[in-house]
Formats: sequence, C-alpha cells, structure tokens
Amino acid sequence: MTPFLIILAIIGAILVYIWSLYNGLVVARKRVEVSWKDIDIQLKKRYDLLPDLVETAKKATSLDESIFTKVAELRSKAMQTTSVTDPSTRAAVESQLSNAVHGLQIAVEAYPDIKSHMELVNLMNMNRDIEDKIAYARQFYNQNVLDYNTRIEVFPAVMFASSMGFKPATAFEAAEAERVDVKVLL
Amino acid sequence: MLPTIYNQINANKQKTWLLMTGFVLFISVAVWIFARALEFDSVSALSIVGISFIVTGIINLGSFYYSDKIVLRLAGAVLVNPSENPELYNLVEGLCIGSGMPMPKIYLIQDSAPNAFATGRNPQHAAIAVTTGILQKLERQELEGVLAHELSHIKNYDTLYMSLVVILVGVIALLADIFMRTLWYGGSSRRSNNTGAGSGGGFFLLLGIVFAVLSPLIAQLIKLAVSRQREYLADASAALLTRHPDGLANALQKLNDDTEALEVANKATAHMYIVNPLKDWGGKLNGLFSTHPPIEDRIARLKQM
Repeated sequence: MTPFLIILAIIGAILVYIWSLYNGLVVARKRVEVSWKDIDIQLKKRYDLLPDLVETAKKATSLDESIFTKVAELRSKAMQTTSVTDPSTRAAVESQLSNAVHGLQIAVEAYPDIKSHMELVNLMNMNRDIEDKIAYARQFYNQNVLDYNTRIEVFPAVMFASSMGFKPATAFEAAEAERVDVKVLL
Repeated sequence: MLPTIYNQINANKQKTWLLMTGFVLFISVAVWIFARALEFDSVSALSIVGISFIVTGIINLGSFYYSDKIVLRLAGAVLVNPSENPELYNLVEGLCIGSGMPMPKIYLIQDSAPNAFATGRNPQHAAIAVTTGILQKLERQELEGVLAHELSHIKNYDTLYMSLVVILVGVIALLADIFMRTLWYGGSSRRSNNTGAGSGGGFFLLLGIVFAVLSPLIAQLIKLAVSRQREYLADASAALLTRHPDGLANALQKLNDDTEALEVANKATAHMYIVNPLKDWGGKLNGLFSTHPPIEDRIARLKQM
C-alpha cells in the first residue's frame, strides 16, 4: 500500500463522513418542517371545535359571558396569526387561547348537573383530546428542534453548518409558563 | 450519575448491546471448543455454523413474520375500531403523534385480568392489545402510561430484537446438538487430512461436552436478560414520551396488586405482556429465569426519573 493510496483512502473516508453528516442535517431539518405542519393540523382541529363548544356551553350553563367572549376573541386572534412563520409568536398566541379554553373547561366542569348534558360532555371530551394532541404535537416538534439544533452545534458540524445554509430552528414555546397540569374529571 | 430518563435509555441500549456481543462471543467460543474437540478444521467448523444460522433463521422467519397474527389469535383478541372505544383510540393517537409513529391496530381481549401487549415486526405492521380488565381498572393517565410502554416496544423494534435473540439461542442449541451427535456416532469420517487440531484432544473433548450441555441453558439466560433490559428500556421510553413517569408507575403498582391470572396467556406468550400474566412467583432464582424485571424495581426506577 503506497502512501499515495493511504492518503487517498483517508480523504475518501473524510468525504464520506462529510456526506453523511450533511444528509443527517437535511433529514433533521425536514423532520422539524414536517412536525411543524403537524402542529398546524391539530391547531386547526381546535379552531373548528371551539365555536360548537362555546355555543353548547352557553346554552347549557349560565356562566358569565366574559368567559365565552374571551375564548372567541383569542380564537380569532390565533386564526389571524396562522400565516406567521415564527414559532414563538404563534406559541404565545396559541398559549393564550389554551389558557382561555382551560378556564372555560374548569368553569363548565364545576357547574352543577353538567354530566346530564350529553352533548356538552361529548364536546368537552373532544376538546380534552384535542388539547392533549396539540400538546403531543408540540412536544414532538420541540424534540425535533432540539435534535436538529444540537446537530448543527456539535463539533465538527459547527464549522460548516451555517455556511451550508443550516440555521437554528425555534422551539414552539411561549415566554410565560402556560403548561398547566390538569386532571380532567368528567 | 443521576438516573435521568436519557441516561437510563442510554444505559439500557449499552447493556443490550453488551449482551448481544457477549452472546456472539459465547457462540464463537463454543464453536471453537466443539471444533477442537472433534478435530475439525476451521473451514468445516465455520460452514457448520453458517448452515446452523441459515436453518435456524429460516425456521424462525415464519414466526417472526406471523408472530403478530398468531399471538393475537391465541389471545382471542378482537379488532377495535375508533367509534367503539374513542377514549382508547384517542389516547393511542396522541401518543403516536408525540412519537412520530403511525397508528398501530388496536385489539381488545375479553378478560377481567388487567394486562396489555404489543407485537409487530416494525411500526408499520404493529398491533397493541389490551384486556377489558385494564380498561376498567386503570385511570386515564395510568392507561396512557401502559399504552406508551407498549408503543415503545414497537418503536424500539423489540419484536425484531427478540427474534434475533431467539435465532441465536436456536443456533447454539443446534450446534450443541450436532456436537453431541457427532461425538456419539463417531466423527472419524469427518476428520480433516492434515490440519487437525490433535493436541490436547481429551481436554477439549471434556470441555466440549460441558459446553454442549450448558450452552443451551446459558443461551436461555442471556435471552431472558436481554428481555428484561428491553422491558426497562420500554419503561424509560414511555416515561420520556408521556413526560409523566408516575402514570406508568401507578399503573404497575395496580397491576402488581391485582392477583388475577390472565386466562388466555400461557408460557409461550407470557413474555410479551406488560406484567407476567401467570402470577406463579416465588424465590430469588426466579429472577434469572423471568422475562420481566421485578415490578418493585421498575416502579422504583420510574419514580426516580
């Protein structure tokens, strides 16, 4: 094995390594993009459900109007920000909506005799399921963001990641704490 | 080192890897001893090993491909569609969104004993089965923990994993068998011409016999050790997925306290359930021979996360 061949082999190995590193980054970035779209799907389901839920709750209970109007307003606000690409802006808006829906949930559950109203119980269950799925979609997206950001920060990828066009991704997180542990008893 | 979820997952994967490497080394040593004892040359020995792998592989291929259908049929499981049990369906769907997996088929077993299992050769061909008992006896978050554990088995390709281990066990058992038969019926016709190992033949003969008798047993022990590691790994993965280890920990506690045995389970399928369904416990030695780690241990690890 001449020295020339050895050097060639080493260069070849380095090129293969860089090739697989680059592809790994592309795949990681794609995962971030796709899981972001999946959050959108779940959020849209929430937008679709809320009018029904609000109307039914209004008829079945005599809760204060402000709870319902707040949900409706924040829902409109959230729907207007769907085209915003920055995840943290959308997270802030969506978490405000989550809080309002949460408040509505707790108020309805505390209302006497609510379990007899089958339609409302049904809608509340659906709401709980959608909230769970939004949380899971968010969790998955943030995990992918963590993975991708780590990959572009570690050595040796950190040396050429930004020159190859790999910018860090933003997590779907609002500044203020909004994740409340809820035990929904219905 | 603090036992965080990530550490536990890494430790589990390392231990599994070590066990598998140890297994392969063990087979290699056994083969070498057998070859020396019978004075085979290395080419014949290797070809016998190769054939054993192929034969065992083919035998196990069928069970690997149809394992899900067979086990589900044995358990009398019935396919559930979303409208029949929306809460169960939605729990699984949420977990699949959280782990980026496709939805498995969901099955129901009519039995008041609480238990669950997962099967399938990859996430695209997977199934989860739960008993009616577990649906009744567990709270929502506990059920979610159990479902996350089962989904983690699928995500970690544990059916594929254990099939590989079973193949390795089969190979060593076959080789040990071949060795003993060759000894019994005389190996003179197979001796190589001039490169026989020759020296120290008697010692290797004895060692070979010891290995032949013990190796199937040792292989079983390794297989059970791997099974236990994968159970711990599924627990840790479930905790990472739900971000709520207490759910699974409480579920395991309830499952442990329930003394009812699952009627459709038997020794062949027992290893796949979340807790040993046969409930025939007792004695420390049982620990080495069990497919599942002790429940108190599993709960303790989860509580530490």
